Amino acid sequence: MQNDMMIERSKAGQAAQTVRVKPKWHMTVLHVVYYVILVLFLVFYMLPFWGALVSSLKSNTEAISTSPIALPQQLSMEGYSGAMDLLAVSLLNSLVVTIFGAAGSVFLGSICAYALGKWRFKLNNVFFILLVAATYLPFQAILIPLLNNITSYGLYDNIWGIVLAHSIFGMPMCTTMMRGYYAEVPDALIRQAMIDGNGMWQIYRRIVVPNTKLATITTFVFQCTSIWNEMLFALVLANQGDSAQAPLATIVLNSFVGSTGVEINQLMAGSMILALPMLIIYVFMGKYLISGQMSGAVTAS
Amino acid sequence: MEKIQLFLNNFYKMTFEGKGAFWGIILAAVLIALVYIFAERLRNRLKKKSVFLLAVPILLLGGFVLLLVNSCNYVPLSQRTAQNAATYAWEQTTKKSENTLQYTSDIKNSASGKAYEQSYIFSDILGQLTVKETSDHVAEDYAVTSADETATLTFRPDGTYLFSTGDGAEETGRYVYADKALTLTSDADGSETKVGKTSSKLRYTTADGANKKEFGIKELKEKFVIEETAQYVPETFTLTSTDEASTLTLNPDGTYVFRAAEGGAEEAGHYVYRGNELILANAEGNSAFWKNFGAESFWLIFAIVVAAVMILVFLFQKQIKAFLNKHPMIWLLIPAALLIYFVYVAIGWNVWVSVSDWADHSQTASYGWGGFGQYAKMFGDSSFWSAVLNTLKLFLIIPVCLLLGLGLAIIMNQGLKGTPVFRTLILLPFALSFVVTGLIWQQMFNGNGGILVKFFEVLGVTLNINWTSNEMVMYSIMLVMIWQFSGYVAVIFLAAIKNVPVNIINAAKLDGAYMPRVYRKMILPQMTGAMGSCITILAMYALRSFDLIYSLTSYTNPASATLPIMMYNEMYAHDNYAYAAAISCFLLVMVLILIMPLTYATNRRKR
Repeated sequence: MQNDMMIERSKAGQAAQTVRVKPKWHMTVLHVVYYVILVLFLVFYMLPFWGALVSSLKSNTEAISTSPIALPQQLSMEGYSGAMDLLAVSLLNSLVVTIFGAAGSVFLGSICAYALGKWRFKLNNVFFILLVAATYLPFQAILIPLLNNITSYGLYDNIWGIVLAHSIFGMPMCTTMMRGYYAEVPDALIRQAMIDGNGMWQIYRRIVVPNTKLATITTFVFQCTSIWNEMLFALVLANQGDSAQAPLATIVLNSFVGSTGVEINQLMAGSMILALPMLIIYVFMGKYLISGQMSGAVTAS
Repeated sequence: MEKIQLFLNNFYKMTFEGKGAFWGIILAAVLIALVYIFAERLRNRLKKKSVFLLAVPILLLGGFVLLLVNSCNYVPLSQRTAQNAATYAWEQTTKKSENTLQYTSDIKNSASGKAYEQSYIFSDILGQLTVKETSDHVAEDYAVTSADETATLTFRPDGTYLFSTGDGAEETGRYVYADKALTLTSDADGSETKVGKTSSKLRYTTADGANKKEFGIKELKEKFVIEETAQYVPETFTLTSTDEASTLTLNPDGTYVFRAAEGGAEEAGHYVYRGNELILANAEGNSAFWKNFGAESFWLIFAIVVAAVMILVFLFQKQIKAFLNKHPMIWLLIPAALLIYFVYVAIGWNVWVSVSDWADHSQTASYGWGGFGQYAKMFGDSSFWSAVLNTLKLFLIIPVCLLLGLGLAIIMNQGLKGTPVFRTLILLPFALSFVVTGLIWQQMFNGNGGILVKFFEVLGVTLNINWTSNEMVMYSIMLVMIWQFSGYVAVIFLAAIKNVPVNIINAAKLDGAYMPRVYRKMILPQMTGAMGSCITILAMYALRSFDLIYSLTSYTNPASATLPIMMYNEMYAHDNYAYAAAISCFLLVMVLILIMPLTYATNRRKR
């Protein structure tokens, strides 16, 4: 029995070696099969993008009358100009919320990550567990108190209220992400700086932050993507409807559905406008963002 | 350009107006941080005695900032016609629907020492006041088409409307636009359809109930303009309070005079009748220093506190520095406090709301003990159990995504040409906002002429699936989630496979190992970490699935309601805050039961 298996294995090994030298016909077939599978999945993943892109480039009448996956007979920017008109204010609001919210949460998160990753203090494990557990918090569970808090600060229907919420609830994720990056700063460097007479926060300012610029930028961009795409806080902490002062782009775009003033090409163009910054970020930085999130998830889990 | 201006205006308003407390805290933090940063340099320049001299310019600066901030809010009395009265906190508003007009004055009753609080019969004055509502009807014929483009609703200038279904049946009625709401009254049975200003959809049902149509009426609303002119009484009108002690006199020029019973003490102010509300703006308040500050009285106290803190900091500089050097972790209290208050205290608060006596259909918070009635209601509610089932159904995406991701990752690991491009492209769905995903997939699922239907038509297959029917809708949502997450999982798995040292695999190959066996025995065991985090992340998305369902279907559709959706629906559509809190508590428990052991298990395996 044992011998038979050995023989089989060596046969398989020989086969594997011959494959490397001279591809056999069945390997070529296998590659063709792989390519077919890849193309099928590519169609599955890209079909919605294609439909949205094509519809957004059609004029209104053409978007209604023709098939949504056919190429436009005539390129038209009608949809984009209409969508920009409707979305302009809310896009600027979203931009402010995204930048300040991400900056706030990265700042808070990096302080916690530095203290937790490089130092020991009383109750540090408790603090870390509290932070990590907050990463998994379903926001519905704190929605009513949050709404009450924000209203009592006079920040309801105000972009600063949303910025505040994002700064606080982005903090746990930022901490776990940045803790992974700060672990790579060598302890010897910090010890050396301490010998030179630097205090804890001087080391943070002079050594840790300048040496982890790329990590900070990655975390910042990651926070930007999640805040830009987020909907729940924008929905709950701001007024809805015509009188809203602080509408964010996601909410305004969602409210397009069903209002007759907005045509299908404008809807798709609005979606593309909202998606474009994120698509660009993910094309160029996707690898770093995902590895950052994973390092966060690994330290967290 | 004007859009940008609009944004800047809003931004200015939101940032600087009436946020005394919030900006006070921020300014205090900034000032204290500045003191901390510059203390070192200042100490070198200043001797201890001159610290008090420094306090003077600081106080002056603080006062200047105070003035500046207050000038944003301050409107001189002469300009303070009652039109902008509504922005002031100490006003008394009475709505048309209420019977009595309550007036609380600043004048103290000499006997009791309390302020006067008088009530007047409100309906007396309503006869004197009218608001001119122009344009109850459209200026010229205007037709809206229903969402499915079959029926039309035509509004005529004479106040009648005509509803015609696509197949020739017609129904007529009268409409009017008043009190910011459009009301349709059917001629057939007198039934009323009403739609408010904030809603953008009009649902019309014919008298026999056969035809239900939905119209988007965003543009229609612009056809109606209500010119609300501030209205005052035509001639001086005097009200007597219900206890016949005091009088309230309204003048045609928009001022009123309140006369208390004894000694003839008087109080004057402005009033306006607008939008079915009578608003009284107390002029006395404007001259009183504290009231001028209103909520901003906070600022004065705040400035004093900041000045005191700064002086203390300068006085005890050395001690403070020594303390901070000894306890550098003290700064960590700021994020820790935020975390504990906004997450853990908030969870406790939420639990308390769920057992409080906060009344149903009410936005007014009440925090008395109300018992476990909400939980009893929740566990007896069939729609709640269907929401739980729907939430659990979403967990099915986890095995599907893991299998797809693993398969794609293995294929991508074969060294085929074009793999990097493929990897970049399959990650793109993950970059999208759930709102965008929802909108695009609405077009995919669209029954007549949607992307999916047309695509399969090109392939020669007639697709006849009603994606949004009650039975299918959860599966449609799962398909969308798989579309969004499987590529992401594949990319993570590919990275994990690449992490396995090539040497071991080559050694195994040399020993004659069969490739599938290498994957099963050598690579998969190394991927448990990545798999564990993927499961956690996917489970979180399944449990917190709110945005996608909200934009893909709607939060009111019970067939696609998950727990977050149901909670939002109870909170916003029905104002059942206590019930919503109970649902979210159940959700939290689900997260604790389903996610935490998973996290713990992956954690243990790693060590």
